[in-house]
Amino acid sequence: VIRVAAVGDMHLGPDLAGRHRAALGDLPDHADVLLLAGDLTRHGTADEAELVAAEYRDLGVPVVTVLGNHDYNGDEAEKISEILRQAGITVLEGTSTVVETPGGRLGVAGAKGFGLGFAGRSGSDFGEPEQKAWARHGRASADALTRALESLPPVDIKVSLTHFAPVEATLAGEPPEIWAFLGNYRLAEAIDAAGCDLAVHGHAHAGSEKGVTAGGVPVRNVAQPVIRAAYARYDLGAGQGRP
Amino acid sequence: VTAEPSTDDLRDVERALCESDSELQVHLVAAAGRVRVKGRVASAARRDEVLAAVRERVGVPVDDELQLDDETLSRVPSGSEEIP
Repeated sequence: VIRVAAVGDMHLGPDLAGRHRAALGDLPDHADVLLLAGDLTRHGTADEAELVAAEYRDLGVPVVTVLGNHDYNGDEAEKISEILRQAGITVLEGTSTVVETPGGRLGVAGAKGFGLGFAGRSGSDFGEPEQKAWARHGRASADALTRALESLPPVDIKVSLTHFAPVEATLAGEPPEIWAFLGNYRLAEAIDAAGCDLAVHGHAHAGSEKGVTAGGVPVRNVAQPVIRAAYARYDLGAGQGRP
Repeated sequence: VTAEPSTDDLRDVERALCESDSELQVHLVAAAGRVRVKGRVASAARRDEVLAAVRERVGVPVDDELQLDDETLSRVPSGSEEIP
């Protein structure tokens, strides 16, 4: 079994410094890896990234993250990523990583994702340049996840890590009017094509925890306001003969 | 706004919170000359900022009914989910 801890949307600012770390001291007893599903910061500043780095460095398990839309707000995403990497955190964007665990090799493919909406009610590459740009960026974000998944070598368990949601089910609870800004059906298509074992995302604070892709891949919304805990824990591969 | 704010006034305040600081989970209800501030914010500090912004805009007493997300940020989960 590979033990995955996952959480997103911590939105750390000075007022929350140290609050999350207080629950992570014994994380190695409970998990082999910690996945962070973006919106680590509140406003996307380098100063907030320093708080994030302090929160998640040296936890005793690998920490893998994608950024979220809040982390881009201050136009310092590259700097934020560098600060996190300096703290030993793996930052994914259209890329992947493999974590060796006692339960097997875990592959994590990550991309922030973007809005677009869902099949039949999505944004389209049609009309004004701004509309086309929005839709094309949504498609490109799914292409980035595809690239990340395809870059993985053979692993025992494959997990997709995004900030935006790949399915509608985990948005239930959010106003339907904003679903197109919260999720993107093409992310789910990438997840299904790659045969993931689990897809983790955040972003939908008022959404629901559990969903599934059309291809049967479990989807979990780990936005902290949804899971209402320091992290959610998933034991992957149970019943597949791994210890 | 000096009298009890109208529903439109309150929607304007909600809209300002949403558009200025992406505060999507704050909802206002007027009752008996007061405004109840409901929903969720990240922390006590953020709650204070939101309440100050609401007070400044509505001009009547404000009741804090906000919930704080950070109250669960340090809660270690009691179990795990098995995903085969």
